[in-house]
Amino acid sequence: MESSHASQRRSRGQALVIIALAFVGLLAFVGLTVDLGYYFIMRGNLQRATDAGALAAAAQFREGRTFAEMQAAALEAVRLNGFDTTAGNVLIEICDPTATTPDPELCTNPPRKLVRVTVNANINTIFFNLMGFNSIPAKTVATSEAASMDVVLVIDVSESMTFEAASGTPLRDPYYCNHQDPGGADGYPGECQPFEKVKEAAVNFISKILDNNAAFEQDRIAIVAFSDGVHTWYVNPSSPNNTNNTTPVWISDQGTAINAIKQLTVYEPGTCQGATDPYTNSPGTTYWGPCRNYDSSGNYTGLYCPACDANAEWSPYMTTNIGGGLKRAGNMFAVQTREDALWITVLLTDGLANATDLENTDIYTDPSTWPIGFCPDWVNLCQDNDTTTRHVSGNGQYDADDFARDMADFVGCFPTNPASACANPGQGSVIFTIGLGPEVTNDYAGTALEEVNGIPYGANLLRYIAAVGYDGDPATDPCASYSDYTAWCGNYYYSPSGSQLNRVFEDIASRIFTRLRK
Amino acid sequence: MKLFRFTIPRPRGQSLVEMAILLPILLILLSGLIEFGFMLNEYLTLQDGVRNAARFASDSDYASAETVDTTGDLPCDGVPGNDVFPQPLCCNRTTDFYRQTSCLVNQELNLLAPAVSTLCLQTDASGDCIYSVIDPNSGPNGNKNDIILSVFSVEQNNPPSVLRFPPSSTGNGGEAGWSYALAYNGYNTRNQNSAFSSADIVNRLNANAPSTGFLVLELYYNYDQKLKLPWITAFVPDPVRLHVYAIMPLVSAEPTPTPIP
Repeated sequence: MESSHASQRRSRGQALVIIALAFVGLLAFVGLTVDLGYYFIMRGNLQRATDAGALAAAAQFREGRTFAEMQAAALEAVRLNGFDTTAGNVLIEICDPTATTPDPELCTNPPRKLVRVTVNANINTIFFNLMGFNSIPAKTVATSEAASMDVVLVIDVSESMTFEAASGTPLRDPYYCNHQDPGGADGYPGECQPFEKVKEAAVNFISKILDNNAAFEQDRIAIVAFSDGVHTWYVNPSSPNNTNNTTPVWISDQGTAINAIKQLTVYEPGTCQGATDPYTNSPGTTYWGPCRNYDSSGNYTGLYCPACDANAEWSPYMTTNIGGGLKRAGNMFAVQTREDALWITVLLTDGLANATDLENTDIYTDPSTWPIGFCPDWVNLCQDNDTTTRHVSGNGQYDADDFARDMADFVGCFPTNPASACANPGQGSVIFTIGLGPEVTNDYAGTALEEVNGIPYGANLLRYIAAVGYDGDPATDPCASYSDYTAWCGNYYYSPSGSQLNRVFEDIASRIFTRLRK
Repeated sequence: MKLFRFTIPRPRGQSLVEMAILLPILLILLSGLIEFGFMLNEYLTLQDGVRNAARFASDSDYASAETVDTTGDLPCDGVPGNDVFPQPLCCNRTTDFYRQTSCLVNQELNLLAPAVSTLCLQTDASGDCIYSVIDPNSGPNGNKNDIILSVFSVEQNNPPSVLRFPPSSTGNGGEAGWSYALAYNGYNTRNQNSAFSSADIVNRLNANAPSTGFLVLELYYNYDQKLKLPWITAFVPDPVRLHVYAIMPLVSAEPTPTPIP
């Protein structure tokens, strides 16, 4: 009895103790749920802020921006998302190649434009606060990347690049002006205008793209020079004027690229009075292509093509192979391909497309296989009189302009699901086009070459190429509402003379950098 | 013995009373915990969805508007057929930045669902929902669901100047932000205003940062309590209005120098 009574008392006490203990445990779980829930929410917010910071930082990988500005941009984005950034709890890192042990996550090979943002924050507790835990540390990391750039410069080196000199003056002769100032006393060997200005602007442009030491330079430049159907080539920095070079070259070193541009010369065929065929520079007695003609007193009279004259067939005489230049630009992207890079093509020309690459069946020494390339054999410009009507390859009227448009599609249309207006799938490169000088906006009104719609041949083609390169769709042209062919619109630029080119290239450089995260 | 037997229930009764007092408290705690857990789950899902959508949109062109496609049709105008915003077909074809971004939010929540209760617009043959959207008609009057999107173009002069898009002249924009509910075909009523004024944004800017652009994506969502227990709804409103947001950089909205002709 006594014992049973005692046991009843014990059990009474037990219930209370158990319930009290359970209650404490339950409260702890409630606290855990609330505090952990709050922690997860705040951690999600922190991750959001870190993501925003990394995106903002990556957008600052661009021309003329300092690391301090990148840090400020990241801090701003973190703060906008509601986190205090004054306490120095945000870490922004990019590759530091000079560190004794460079961070392998940021310093990759090949170099990439990576930025890592780390945010540390203490997340306050509510229930755990009662037990002395004021806050739980949280750390979120985000790495963001800006696209590296592969830029192909397609530069017109045809003889018209001397045309800022007055007709009849010696500087009009590409041979003469190329050999002036050989030491480059003004920074650039040669005195051909506007070609020297083109080189100056291109050098400026390159120094903005390749702005790091070659070992950590993330961007690459390639240069394609084009003149006539036979002389269109990949510029090799070790011999920039070797027109026979068929090997594509990417350049990461600023000095190398700039030197290659500086050494470039206006294409100079042999003389009509010389002993070699000026079209191929090989021995021969018949001059099939364009040659530099001099009168009896040795004054330069311009380009001429004796064989063309004899055969009344002028297509080999023409020297602006825009299509061939674009074709090589497109092919560049298939060499040492970087799928994740932003592909950019910049085309500069001073005229209309009037020459094309050779076709396999073309034999330049046999007029019966002419026209060389795709020129209709009944027009002098290697161009029919209607620039708005497009013909397909094989058509008798397929001209240099049509060829250039096909090649623009090849460079600018997307490789998969190309726009319906694309002739073929392409490489999906962004294309900028620059028209230089009055020839671009010339519709040859009042001459036999007059464009039937009064539309300038050159500018219309360049706008088409720019429209393809704007969004991969030739049908959508940001220039459609601009009737002034000297206006800048979309990716099309016009420069009335060499002097304004620098501004054009600067604008393109700034736009390239704001399109980083395509 | 008899007497003794009568004495036994006393402590038992005490225990019962103790339990009777404690059990409701326990139940309240537990049920509150469960309700809170459900809400937390939805909140995190919404937060993830909004963050992902904002990250995605940060690469887009904020000025991109609806364009007539190759067949000559203007997307999301309801003609022809079912390209009604925010129906799937319209979301597939729209080129409007604001519509695209709100479609992204819906798409993200579709992927993260079924944690979030949404309005089903399309079912497959077996009756399963394959496309659902935030329901603009859900919630108490005056406080219904909405997705609010604003774009800020920040010019870092001293002091900074901020342009807010879309402008109020569009009828769906200004300081209130672009409203998904207002653009929602057939509903067309603004449910919510942006919680961020231009001044709020200016206050959070960093004076050393370069000029830039931002998008502010907000989601107002009414969480319907799962248990709807009277002792919870007495203190916590049902539904609970949740507000999640994400502010991401938007390069396309960065002010650029006026081009030199």
